Amino acid sequence: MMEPALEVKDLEVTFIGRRENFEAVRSVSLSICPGEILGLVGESGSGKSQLSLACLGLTSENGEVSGSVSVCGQEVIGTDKEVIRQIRGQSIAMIFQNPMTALNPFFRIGEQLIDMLRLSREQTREKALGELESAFKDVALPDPEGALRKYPHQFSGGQLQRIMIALALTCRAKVLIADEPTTALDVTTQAQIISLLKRLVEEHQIALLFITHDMGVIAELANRIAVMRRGELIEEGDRSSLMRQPQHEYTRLLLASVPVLGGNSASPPKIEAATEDMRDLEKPLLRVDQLCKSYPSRSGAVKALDKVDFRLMQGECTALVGESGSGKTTLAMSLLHLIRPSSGAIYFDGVEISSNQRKKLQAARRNISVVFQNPYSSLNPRMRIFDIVSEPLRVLTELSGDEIEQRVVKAIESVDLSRDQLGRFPHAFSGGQRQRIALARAFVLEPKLIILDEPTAALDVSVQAQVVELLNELRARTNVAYFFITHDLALVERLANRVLVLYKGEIIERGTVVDVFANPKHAYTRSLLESVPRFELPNLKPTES
Amino acid sequence: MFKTVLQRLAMMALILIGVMTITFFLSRVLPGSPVELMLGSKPTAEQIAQAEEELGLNKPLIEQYFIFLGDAIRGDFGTSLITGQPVTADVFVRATATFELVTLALLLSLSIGIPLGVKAAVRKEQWLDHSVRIASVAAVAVPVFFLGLLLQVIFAGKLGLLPLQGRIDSDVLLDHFFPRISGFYLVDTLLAGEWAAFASAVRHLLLPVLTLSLASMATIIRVTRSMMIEALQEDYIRSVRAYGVPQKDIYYLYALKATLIPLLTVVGLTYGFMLGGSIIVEYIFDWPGVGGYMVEALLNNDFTAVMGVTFFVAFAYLLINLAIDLIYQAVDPRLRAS
Amino acid sequence: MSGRGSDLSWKERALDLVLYNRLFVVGLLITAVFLLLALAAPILTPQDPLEIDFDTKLEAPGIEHWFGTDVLGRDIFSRVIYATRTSLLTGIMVVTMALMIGLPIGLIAGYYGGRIDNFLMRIADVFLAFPPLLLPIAITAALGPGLYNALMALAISWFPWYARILRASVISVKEELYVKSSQAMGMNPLRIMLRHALPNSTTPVIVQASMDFGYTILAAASLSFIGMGARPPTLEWGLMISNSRAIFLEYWWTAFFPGAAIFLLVLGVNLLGDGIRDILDPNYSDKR
Repeated sequence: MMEPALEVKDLEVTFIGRRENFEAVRSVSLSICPGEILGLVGESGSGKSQLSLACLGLTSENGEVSGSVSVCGQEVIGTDKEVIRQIRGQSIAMIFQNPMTALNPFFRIGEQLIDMLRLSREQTREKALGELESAFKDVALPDPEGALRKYPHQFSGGQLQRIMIALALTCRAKVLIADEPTTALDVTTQAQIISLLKRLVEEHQIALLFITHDMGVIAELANRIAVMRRGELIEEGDRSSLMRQPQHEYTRLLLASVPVLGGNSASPPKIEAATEDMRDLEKPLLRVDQLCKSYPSRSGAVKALDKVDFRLMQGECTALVGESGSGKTTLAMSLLHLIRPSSGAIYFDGVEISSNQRKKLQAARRNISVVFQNPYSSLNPRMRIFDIVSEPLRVLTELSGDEIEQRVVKAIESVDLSRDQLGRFPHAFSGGQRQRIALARAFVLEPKLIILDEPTAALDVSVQAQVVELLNELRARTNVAYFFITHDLALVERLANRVLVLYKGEIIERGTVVDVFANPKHAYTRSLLESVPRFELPNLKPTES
Repeated sequence: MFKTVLQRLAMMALILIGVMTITFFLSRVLPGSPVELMLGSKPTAEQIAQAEEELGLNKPLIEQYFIFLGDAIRGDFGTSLITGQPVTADVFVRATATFELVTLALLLSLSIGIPLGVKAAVRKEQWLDHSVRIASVAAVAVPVFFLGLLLQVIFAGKLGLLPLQGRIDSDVLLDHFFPRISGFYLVDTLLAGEWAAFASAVRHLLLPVLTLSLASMATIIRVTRSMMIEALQEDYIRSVRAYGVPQKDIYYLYALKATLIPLLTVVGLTYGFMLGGSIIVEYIFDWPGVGGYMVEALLNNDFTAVMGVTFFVAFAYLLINLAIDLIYQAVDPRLRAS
Repeated sequence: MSGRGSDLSWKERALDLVLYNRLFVVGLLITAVFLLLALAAPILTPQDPLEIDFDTKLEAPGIEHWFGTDVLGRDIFSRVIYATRTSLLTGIMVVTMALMIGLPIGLIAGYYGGRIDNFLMRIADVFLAFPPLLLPIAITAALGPGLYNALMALAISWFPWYARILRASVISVKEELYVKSSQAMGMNPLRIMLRHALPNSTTPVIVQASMDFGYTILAAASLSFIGMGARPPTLEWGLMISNSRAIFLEYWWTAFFPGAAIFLLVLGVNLLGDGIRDILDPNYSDKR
């Protein structure tokens, strides 16, 4: 057995408040050996970030820390500030969530990093320079020599994260804490950073504490997994046994909600006549014809959408998959008539709605609703729930007050909320509940089509699954069609019948979900599919039910 | 970079035309016609007609407007009723006095305000921070004119240490002549090697500069403090901290650098604030600058002069903001690239 | 955990402020006292503030006349108390008028964006091109001196700030998804502006307005001081100081008490404004 590089014993972090004290971390113990990766999972507010800050002695002033943290044999808690300062950057280093803000935008990369090395380790400029360049090569940063002369905004998020990792390498830190280092990045970049970290841990024998809310990422990377909730460490074990036989109910819930391809947790309602020949005969609910949208820019026009072409039938769910910047938001905004396309046409129920005729548009609007990604922004905080849900009815229909009330009550009950919650304001609800309210607003018009723009992306994983189930149930009941926009392929499998893959404004692959996932034709689709975690799911049936 | 400079200049030209338009409207359209003011209480109809003819007031408004614009672009804002000189010439003669006063006040505000603000942020919630905060809240609440009078009562009246008003002692001036090269007395007396004149100029500057700078100093302290605290919460400061950079370097190297750049915009606003304040301060201390000239003109119903001064001071303020804008562009790499 | 303050509701933050922020309480007290003085001026004053009595002219502060008397033998204490009314009114009127001009402009500019925005903001820029105090002086000069003209002039020069602040805030609220869904429904723009955009973007303007209150009082007093604002027989602190300008070296009390009154009122109002900002803008108070 090796000596652990990081050892945490009975760590407690308490914040002293005016009203009450807040115990962010409660009696947590864990250890990591060189060359080992410990994945620390928990949802927001579980105390995982406070744990990592305490390991560096960076707890803010109103926090009280007790217990013990030893980094390479040196105690951190209660030690003289000057000593901790020297431990930081020499024995232990940290990588943060958002690489775009981790460096000062006003100064060149080289200036800042060399300053940091000079001041923290009293290195000479030349030595720091040389070490940085070789570390840049190690993390496969393109143009390692030139990088030092550039400013942060000239790099992508993934590149900046590589730079931050390189800095940690330069310090030869034996312990590395990575706090959600991939959360702000695209899926494909995320996969690259993860494999990079894996390689470096191996080569440099680093002890890595990897903090995340994403069980999927952990499953790819960690040797051991620890689960935190409300400041407590509720379960810890090596990866395979914890994933196969989770002891704690909460761990089970987390695992169940991991988007996994081939998972059996939910599946979309089947629709009849899904063969291509039948589709051509039937009248589509939504037809998009050669839609193009370009924005002017300095280097000519940028094509956000390039000849996008597809059909959506009554009652089916088509998913649109693409990473940020692929044009999916532009497409959604065009369907909602919030952006005017450069060319092409959109037909709804056989009527062209991309033209500017108010009457036709009004009829279509009554039948198209939208649910957006962020439930914290999609409900007006100054309006009561009743007013929010009834607004579409008041704007778009001529229903009487009583009829409106009936419809609103029906809608709110169909999303499993109760009618006496209608008098409250949005801030009284959780993220998941807010998204239900947004759904109620979308359904209150009894539309034929609902555009779902990443409806679960802003929710905690355990809530995601419930919303997906609700969406499937509502579709089965009302025969509404969904146009579902996402970057998450596992969700596609659970919600959609058909899928479109959008890449740089073009649809590069289309077909039924089953076909595309089993047999992707385009290289980009393949790389997307590979970035989704695949692991053996444990027996997830809860023991007591 | 060149393109942005051009853009800014074009924008400034546009705003200048707007400024002239407002000045024109104020002088012609609103009640209180310049003719009445010029001719006193009871002019005859004949006198009015003649005066209107002279001033071009009988022409259609739109024509008057373009004549005004044309004159303004050539720098002609009419003739002052009290001095009998072209307003433009009057303003230029007095501009350096104002400029000297305001610049020194700005330098004083910055050189005391920034260090105090930084110290307050570093010692956040300690006694230094609290006393600086209370002092600056109080300083902002003191009316400029009251502060000026108070300082006069104390330092000129009761203690008799400093001169009551003016820019330099006239008897000193008689014995120690110095050529006006820069227009800044501090500089010119030094260039001429006239120490007595220099000392007199300094003594005269002390009270007005202090009066003008107190409120701005307080503002700069508060802004510096909150910008510094904000900078200390940035993610990149957290990275630096996580790598064990000493605390004092974090404060005085990283956070201070990040604070100074956005502080530039505050310097522009402060300058404007001081140009406004200088009107009152110059009036109190009988300072021979543009502000004092404006109040004189106001009290004597010299309308032409008031509008001319309004335009020139706005113009100076625009130029300063332009300069600051361009410096900011040059310093921020994100702006520089685009 | 520095952001925990923002979890509290505004009522809890207000309570916190009263309990823990002594400066806010001081501000509250000062302002309350001045309000009381303004309302109860006739009861509190020993003498008619306009009553001239040459027998008692320029008396130093004493038992008879607490703050002394002026050139015309008028009781300065009574005059200072009555003048509270003018200054409070000044602050309220200027800020209200400036808001009334600035808010519609900011709302429209922010919501529509594009050319309308460009046009309105360039107009605002022109007004902001004048250093503070300069434009009010020029406008009052044109309108003719007088308290109401001065107030109007201050409002006209001040509105662009509110227009700008509201515009910035509307632009960010416009990106909120509830606005997008209303637009997608084809809702009337005016209705979106009034129901969604305005109610959710006023906080920064209210914060700014509460902080400007003191500044407007100072500016109006300055205008009166150089003879552009209130005229006799209106009672105004700036005007009182201006009148004693020739004699204050000898008779300091003629200028001191009105000046101290301005200082105290503005101090109180500013402390109150700081507190209002802390209540409405939790992110700001977290930084402290």
